[in-house]
Amino acid sequence: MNQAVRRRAPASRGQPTGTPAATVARSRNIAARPALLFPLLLGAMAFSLTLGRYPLELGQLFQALLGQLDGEQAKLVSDLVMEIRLPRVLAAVLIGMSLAVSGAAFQSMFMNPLVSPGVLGVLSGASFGAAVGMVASGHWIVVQLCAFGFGMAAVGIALLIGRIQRQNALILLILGGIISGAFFNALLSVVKYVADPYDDLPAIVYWLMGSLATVDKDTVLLLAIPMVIGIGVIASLGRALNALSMGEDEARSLGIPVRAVRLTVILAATLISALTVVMGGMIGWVGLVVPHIARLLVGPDNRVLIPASAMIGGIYLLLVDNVSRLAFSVEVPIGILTALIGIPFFAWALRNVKRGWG
Amino acid sequence: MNTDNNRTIRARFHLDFGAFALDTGEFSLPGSGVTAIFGHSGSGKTTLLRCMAGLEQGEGYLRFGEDTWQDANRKFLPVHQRPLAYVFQEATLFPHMDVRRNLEYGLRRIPKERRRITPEQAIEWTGVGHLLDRSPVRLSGGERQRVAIARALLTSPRLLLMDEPLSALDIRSKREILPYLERLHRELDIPVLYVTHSPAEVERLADQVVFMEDGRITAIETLAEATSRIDSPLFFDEGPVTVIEANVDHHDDAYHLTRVTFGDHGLWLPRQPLEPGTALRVRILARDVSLIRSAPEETSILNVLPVIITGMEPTGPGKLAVTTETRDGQTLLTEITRKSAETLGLEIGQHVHAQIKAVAMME
Repeated sequence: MNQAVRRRAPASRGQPTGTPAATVARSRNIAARPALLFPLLLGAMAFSLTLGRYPLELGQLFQALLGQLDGEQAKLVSDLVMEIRLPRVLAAVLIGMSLAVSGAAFQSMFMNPLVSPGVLGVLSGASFGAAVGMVASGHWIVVQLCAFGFGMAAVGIALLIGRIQRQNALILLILGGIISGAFFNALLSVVKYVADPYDDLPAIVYWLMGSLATVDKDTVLLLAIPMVIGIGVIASLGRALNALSMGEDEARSLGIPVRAVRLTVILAATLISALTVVMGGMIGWVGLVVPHIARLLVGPDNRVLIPASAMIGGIYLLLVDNVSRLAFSVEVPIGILTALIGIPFFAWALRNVKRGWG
Repeated sequence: MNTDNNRTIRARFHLDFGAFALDTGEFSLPGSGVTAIFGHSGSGKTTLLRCMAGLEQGEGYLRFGEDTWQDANRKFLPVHQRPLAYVFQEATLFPHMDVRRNLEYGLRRIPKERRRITPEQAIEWTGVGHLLDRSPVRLSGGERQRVAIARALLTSPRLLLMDEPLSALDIRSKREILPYLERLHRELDIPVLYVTHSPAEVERLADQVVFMEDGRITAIETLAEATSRIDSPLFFDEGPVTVIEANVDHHDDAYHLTRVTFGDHGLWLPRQPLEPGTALRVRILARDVSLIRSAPEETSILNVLPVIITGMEPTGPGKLAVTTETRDGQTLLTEITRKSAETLGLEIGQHVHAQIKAVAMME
């Protein structure tokens, strides 16, 4: 049927001026670009694995990954790669992907390029949850469960507030997110205020700056499964997100089950965003910045933009994490770096927004 | 006829927005042809269309043929489960996809076996074949709307809803797109609901008209009924209008004219880009028709028809609407001053000649 449409194309008709031809050409190559980014991501991962206080050759690295090392250093190198560096690299990639994909999906869904994954309050809720977990128990697993649970709860509250009016309008949803986020930020302040200032408080503050220094292999492997599923779900909704980005009525009349798609995107994005906090604390700005870079590269078609955002998000956070752990004599929390890079970029992106983002 | 019955629309909607309420009462619309929903801004015509589509949810019910889309027992089929297509005032095309990909988006909505309109048909009827490789950014308003219509058709809808598809266009784009809408009217075998506030669009495109005022349906009439009463809301702006269903007979290329015929009579029109044999509607403003008692020997006016006066009705101080009929029963409305009527001594039953100054396809 595609071909039937194509057959009527007047092949010999001259292209009037540059733009249409360029657009068509771009739309044909477009699907290839996220695929091209994948080897780049793998390369960035391999490169990152070699970096550290104990530098490795690429050859050593691959032998370690394949379990082919022998000699006296074999055990050391193998442990270093498999137990310490690989979990951290995977965590950076997963977190970067999750935040970027959530951001890209929310920007399309809310028809607003300045929306970030935290717009519905998930990051505030998760931060509060983590803080509560630290004060209440200090067990790592409790902290993680609390972060996840309160992240989901914050978005649940935003959805409830957004539905007070029956129209289910997007603006109410955003307002619900603002209210919910502000509420959990206030609760977080309460927890900080009552926290033990010599023990719990520094832990909370450090957590809120975000860091991948504490990730362990088991956590990463466990959380990778829901994160990859969540990313996959959002990536599969590209066609529907395209329609949603044109407006609710248009999407519905094009046959998109708007409410179901929205809820699915919100749930999947919330899930993976909350899990990033569980893994690495608060890492801001990635979900805002990366989709813009991806859009510059591949255009606004969500079927391509979402996978491209995932790849670029993974590469981006990996590189920032390398800086965070190696550039200075002490490790700098990665959330500080993403903010320092993200804020000027955001100001620059604002300038472009005025010209439209189509 | 059987298929028409299967698609008859029966509905009632009540929707209260506070400042405005839609309250249609029970109504039914035929399951074929173009039904215009006509009224002023704020009369509720778009709200009615949105209720039909399921974009608004009011109280009431809606049955499309045998299928219930909405009923009093809280059944409400969401928009995406209704086999309909909706064309908005302003075409919303995907800016980052070329026209072909925009069309494919519509095509992919439904599985192959349920496709009843082929891409070839949709592209031909809307005349977008030469635009397929263009970006929507580089289309004119009329072209964008035609692409949006083609995309809507490619979803093979069983009901096509159009919400003032011409109102955002300038006069030139309107002129350019109307022939395509007429073509759709001839080719499509699905019912079309067409919201408009333009009498000319109703007269060119509609088979029946739903008149709306203050959120209520005031009348549902065939076009013939709607144009046979002098006080029709269709006549508020330009005065009475006659709509004649005619056929293209032949072209006179030397004078750039087209001869159309209806019954035993014929009229000359400016050259029309239509094949001989094509049905078309001719629209004649009553104020463009004058009456003379005997056949003129020398006149610059091409179209003169012998008629009988069948009615006279004042339309304003000093003005009369005179209803006339041709020999084979085609009504022709004219509007003249009372002074002329008295000078000519016009009376019902009299044989006179109607001179038609301009036969318009469209203003």
